[in-house]
Amino acid sequence: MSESEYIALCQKGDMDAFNQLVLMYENKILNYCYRILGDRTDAEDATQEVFVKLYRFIGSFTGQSAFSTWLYKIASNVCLDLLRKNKRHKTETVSLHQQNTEGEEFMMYVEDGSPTPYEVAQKNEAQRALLDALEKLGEDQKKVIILRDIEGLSYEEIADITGTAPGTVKSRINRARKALKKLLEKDRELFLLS
Amino acid sequence: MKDTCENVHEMLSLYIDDMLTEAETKQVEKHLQTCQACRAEYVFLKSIVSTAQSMPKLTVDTAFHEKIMENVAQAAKESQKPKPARKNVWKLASGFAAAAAVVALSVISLNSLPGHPELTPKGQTEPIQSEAPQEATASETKDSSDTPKKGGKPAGTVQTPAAPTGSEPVLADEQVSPYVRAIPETQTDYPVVSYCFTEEGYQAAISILSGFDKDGEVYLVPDEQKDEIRAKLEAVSGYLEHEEMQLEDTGFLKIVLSKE
Ligand SMILES: [Zn+2]
Repeated sequence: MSESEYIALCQKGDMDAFNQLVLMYENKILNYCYRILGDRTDAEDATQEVFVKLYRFIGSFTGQSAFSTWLYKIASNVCLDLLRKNKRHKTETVSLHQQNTEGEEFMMYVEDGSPTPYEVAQKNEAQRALLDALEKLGEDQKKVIILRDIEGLSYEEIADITGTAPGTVKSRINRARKALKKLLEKDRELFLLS
Repeated sequence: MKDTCENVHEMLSLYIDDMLTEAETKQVEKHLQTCQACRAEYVFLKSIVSTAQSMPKLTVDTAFHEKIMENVAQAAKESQKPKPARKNVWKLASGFAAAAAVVALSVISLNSLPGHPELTPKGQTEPIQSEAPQEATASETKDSSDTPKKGGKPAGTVQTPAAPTGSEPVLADEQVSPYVRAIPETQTDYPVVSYCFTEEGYQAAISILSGFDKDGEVYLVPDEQKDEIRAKLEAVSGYLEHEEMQLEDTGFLKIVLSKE
């Protein structure tokens, strides 16, 4: 059965079909949330919420955009909400709205002494440096790096998910990688060794 | 040679992903054979990409999957319960609006009291006040005619930071935006999203929604524009959180604004 057939069944309240949709996307969504939030527990909470939202919203999915675009958008919103809430509750975390070199606004999280959530996931110095640099990219650039390089999605899939033209995806990935390279210049040796 | 190097730099990312045309691929490869500087860039970029690809990934286990399905089943059950309180969502929404208005009023009266300069948030009020007349928040000032109008004491005008700083124009309440569409009278059961903002964020939100049909602090936004408007609201720097109250697609979305 195709994805759109499952969706149609879900819209009629078919729980088995919904179960199939969850199976198709749960790993992708969990990892996507994990890369945005940087914390496994938060990512798990967010993933739970994304699928509850999906269930409640699926009746309003019209098929105007690709289903994946729509689902990732829900995930993106859930994660951003969570980041805002965490930002308000964690006093040691200062969030700054800043402009990066391309004039895009991005949020920078400055943690004070406390261990970064990434430490669990870090296998080596290069990965740590990469994750730190990723945090400094604008949201759009960060998103394409996550989707392309970490999640390994194709340019076409990324165009679907982000709702942008394939040409835009090409240039965005190119610019994002260049920005990443610039940020990692100081850690160059780490990457030449690994 | 400099020109070629820059061209090649631009193509390295697509080259790594094998997304170049055959001719371009040949061009890059030929250049990399002869130019050490570009080769170094290529190796560095390639290594960054490989590092990203080898990043550890999380996997969903059965228990986690089951928990998702349980949560969903729970949500399904809740949505099937009889919902007497939801009969008239407009009323519900108006309740929120009333609560928001109370907040607004209490802010006004506190700040209108002379001799309480410590209640004045520092920093953002002065520049705004000098150039911002009161019309942007007509709905608030209406109820507090004793509030000093323009040129009032600094402490007395805190409740109306009014026009957001920068370039966004503020439409007066009467100004009708081209987006506004006739509201079908029979349809009252619209989905509601309640947004909470900081004081400054609240003002920016009002200006984003100005022109839409409104009742108190409840705005009615056609479905075609709700995504755009919601994205704008959530991008406001004073945006705190929102709550969705009903989700069916009915042609319009009610947006309720409130302050922290
Ligand atoms: Zn060169």
